[in-house]
Amino acid sequence: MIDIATSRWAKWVLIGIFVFEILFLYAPVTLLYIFSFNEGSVVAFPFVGFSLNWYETAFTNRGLLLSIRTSATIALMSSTASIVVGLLMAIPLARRKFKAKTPIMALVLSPLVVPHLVFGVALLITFRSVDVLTNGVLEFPLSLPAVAIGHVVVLMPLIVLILIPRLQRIDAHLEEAAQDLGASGWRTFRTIILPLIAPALAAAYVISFIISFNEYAVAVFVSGPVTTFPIFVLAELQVPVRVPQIIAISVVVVTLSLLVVVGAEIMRRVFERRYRVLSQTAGLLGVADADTE
Amino acid sequence: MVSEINTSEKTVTSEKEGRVASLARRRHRVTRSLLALPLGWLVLFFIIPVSLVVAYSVGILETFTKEEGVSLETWRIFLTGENVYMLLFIKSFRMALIVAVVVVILAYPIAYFLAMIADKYKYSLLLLMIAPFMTNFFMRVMAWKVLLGRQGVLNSFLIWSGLRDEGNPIEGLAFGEIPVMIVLGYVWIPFVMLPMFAAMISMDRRLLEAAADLGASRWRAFWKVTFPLSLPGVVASFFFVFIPTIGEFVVPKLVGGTKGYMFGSAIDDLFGMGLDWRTGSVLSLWLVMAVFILALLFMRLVRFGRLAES
Repeated sequence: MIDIATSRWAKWVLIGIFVFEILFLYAPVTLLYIFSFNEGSVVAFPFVGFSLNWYETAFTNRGLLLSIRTSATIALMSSTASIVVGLLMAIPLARRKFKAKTPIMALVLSPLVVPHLVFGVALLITFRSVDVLTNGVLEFPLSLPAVAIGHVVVLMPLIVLILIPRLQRIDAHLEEAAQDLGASGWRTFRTIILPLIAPALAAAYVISFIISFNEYAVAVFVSGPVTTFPIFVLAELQVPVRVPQIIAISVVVVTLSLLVVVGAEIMRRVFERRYRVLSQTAGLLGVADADTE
Repeated sequence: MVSEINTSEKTVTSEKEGRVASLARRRHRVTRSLLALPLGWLVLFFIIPVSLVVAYSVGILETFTKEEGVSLETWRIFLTGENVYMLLFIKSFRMALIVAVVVVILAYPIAYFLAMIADKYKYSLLLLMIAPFMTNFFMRVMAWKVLLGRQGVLNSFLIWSGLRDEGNPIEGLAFGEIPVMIVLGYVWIPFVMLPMFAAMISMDRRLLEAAADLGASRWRAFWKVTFPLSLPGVVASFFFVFIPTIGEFVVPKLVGGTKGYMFGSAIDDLFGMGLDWRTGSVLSLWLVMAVFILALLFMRLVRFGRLAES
């Protein structure tokens, strides 16, 4: 049978485009990896010599380390909270029938169409006006929790989008059978639903953590005196002599997140194969799949 | 005897119905209580904040004392183009449109390749493609800055290798409108491919086989089957780039210079430097409204496209 999707030469053209764009995506980042080992303080040719100095400088920079700790704390808080609220949201949306479903879905996804910048200033106005509206009785300080609260709003629609396709694929009969056998709603959730969506939950958690860790637009408006990692990095980038150590620390952060993402993907595949939860999917980003044929 | 059995069967049925009904009621209650927390969160930290921006833009809410009371004056000044912001908006809109269109065109063949041709390698290749998206945003922006700068990698390489004279580096790559667009495109390509990939992969392959059986050429089958079916993915992809690009203020800060200043940069400055929150609110709302109107228009277009198709 001939392949209707492409002819042979079109296939090679497409492969060519793919390779070209992969190079386009990876080349600049690869250059940064290379230059992080360059001894010179200017990021330019020619190489002066190999050294690990910039890594040493970065790892002894207290402001930098503090900002990483701040961002990790925020990411931990916001991804944990958003997984909980996202799951609470996704279960009824995926597995129950009720009247207000469409407007609720629209509401949940609406943060996706609002630029982060606008959401950031909206939160800034809100937190600032808490004391104006309550005549100074209440005050909401701009700091770490304010950023985490904002990130939960940003992450929730993404998590819902990742979880809904997974939840929809669970056979409704499983749930009914469990309840017929006398299991409570909570027990049905714990013993049927939770194990089946565990891989998707793990993927959603990793993605949320990384997004929150690197998020700048919301954080910069509501962080107050707190310096998160992206805020610190952006400030340091304005100072040319600091650029090499920022490159070094970015290389470390990027390598770590890549390891976690690839590791999570491998774990997910092993898990799915073992439990035969349908066939392979692109569950990493909640891409709906039709690969079950 | 017979009637007795019938009655007991009836009771059993009605009992079962009652149990089903109470189960349904219980599920309803559970649904409502499950939704309470996330919906409450969205209302408190999303709906109310956006409403407060509206209130701020017309002066109902004021956090600084010097302001001028309730009026639509700030809106009028912006909409009639008395200040520079409307021009800035048009410029940013144009830039975002160009970036989104170019990126969608660049990403479409990739999505097609992965969904239709890459076969069993598609998920590994997909991961390879989106891995850069997992890297730090600044790292990718910085990579270009370092690459294209006046004393950057490209120029220093050209001079070092003797391809260009010492005093004659390639200018205009490090700062300005074009670098902003290149960098934004670079940042979004992996992400933008996903909705199109999802649309193509959920397509029924048998439609293509049917088209082939009916004598359609590959080209015709693509334009009559694959492309229309991937259109919702294309529109979603477009917005995935367009929305963050039109609200962009970080990339202009790093590689924009004065020529690359965007609408988002203006909002950032109005709030960040505390100059004028009221004008900032007007601009923010305008940004959201523009995105919404464009989204509605596109949805219409896609639907009309489908109607024309059938």
